[in-house]
Amino acid sequence: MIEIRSLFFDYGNVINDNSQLTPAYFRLIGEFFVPRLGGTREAWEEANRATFRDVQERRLARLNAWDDATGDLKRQEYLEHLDWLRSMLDVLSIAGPASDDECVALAAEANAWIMLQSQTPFPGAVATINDLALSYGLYTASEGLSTQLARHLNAIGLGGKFETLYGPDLVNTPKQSLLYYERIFRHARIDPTAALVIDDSIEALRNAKAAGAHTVFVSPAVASADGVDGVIRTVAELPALLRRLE
Amino acid sequence: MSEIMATFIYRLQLTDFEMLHRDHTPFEVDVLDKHFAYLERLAGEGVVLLAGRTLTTDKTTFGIVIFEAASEAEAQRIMDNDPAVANGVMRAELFPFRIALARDGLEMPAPAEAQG
Repeated sequence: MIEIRSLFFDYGNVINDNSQLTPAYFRLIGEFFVPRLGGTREAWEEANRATFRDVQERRLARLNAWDDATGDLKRQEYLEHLDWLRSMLDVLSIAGPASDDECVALAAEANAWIMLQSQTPFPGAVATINDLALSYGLYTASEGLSTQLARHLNAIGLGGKFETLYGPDLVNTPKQSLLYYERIFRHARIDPTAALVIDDSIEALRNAKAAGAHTVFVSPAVASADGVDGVIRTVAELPALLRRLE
Repeated sequence: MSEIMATFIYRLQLTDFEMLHRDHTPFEVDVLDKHFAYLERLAGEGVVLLAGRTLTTDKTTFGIVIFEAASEAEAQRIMDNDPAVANGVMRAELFPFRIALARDGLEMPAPAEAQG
């Protein structure tokens, strides 16, 4: 038996169904950029497809080179936005914004707008989280920035249900870092042994466990997993699991 | 015939409450300016009855907006269009609300049951 007082939710693939995100994302890129920078919707979609993998690989390389002592999360986000939009502009042979700052601001606005159009919470997730908020302190522990998380959760009516929306920006630590959860628990002044982290990433849960928390793996396909306190298919199954654990 | 209005409240909390203890970023300054202008405009139009915030500077800090709308859907739109909410600088939660008492001078809408 364990006592849980705080729940830390990942957002993508835990609260929100990201499998719905990709097709909408590609479609909405053109919808956002065509009126601002020209080109056609199809060309923007194709440019994103053509550059997506390389942009992600460069992003991961930067995160892998992250130094917990000196890393600057806001700089990481800046470079990510810049790389994303400049790469597409190169493919499209469109000049785009003159300065890097303008380019980053436009990319950030685009990403925020596109993501907001593409929110599809899993069935039952909103009602379950509303109920859990009556009994537990709720937090996010996600890869998205806190402002992005606030936009998404406001949009699905859950913005006020969480104590703090932890993304990497509030603790200046990327989620991939071994220190991510430790810094969140310290920032929130939470006893990790009374915290439960709910995530679809085994690696993230391993780090959460190392920081002292209990962990639940969310997977529609896997019935059991080593090193976690429970496995659920969706967040809607979390209350039943909590009753078994507590 | 005038539209029957109901009263709502939304509670606002800073996404990063440490904003209260550090310089605001240009993005935050821009959003907060737009947030204030938005509520000021709605107050001028008679939609917002009252808006304000606690003077605490820790995690308990919150703001409220009490306003009128013709339906819950419209109330939701008003909250969602608040620039602080739309840009994620604040988290928000909407509730139906009824003013039970008010000082003279603050107009109170009739209770919802009596409006139908």
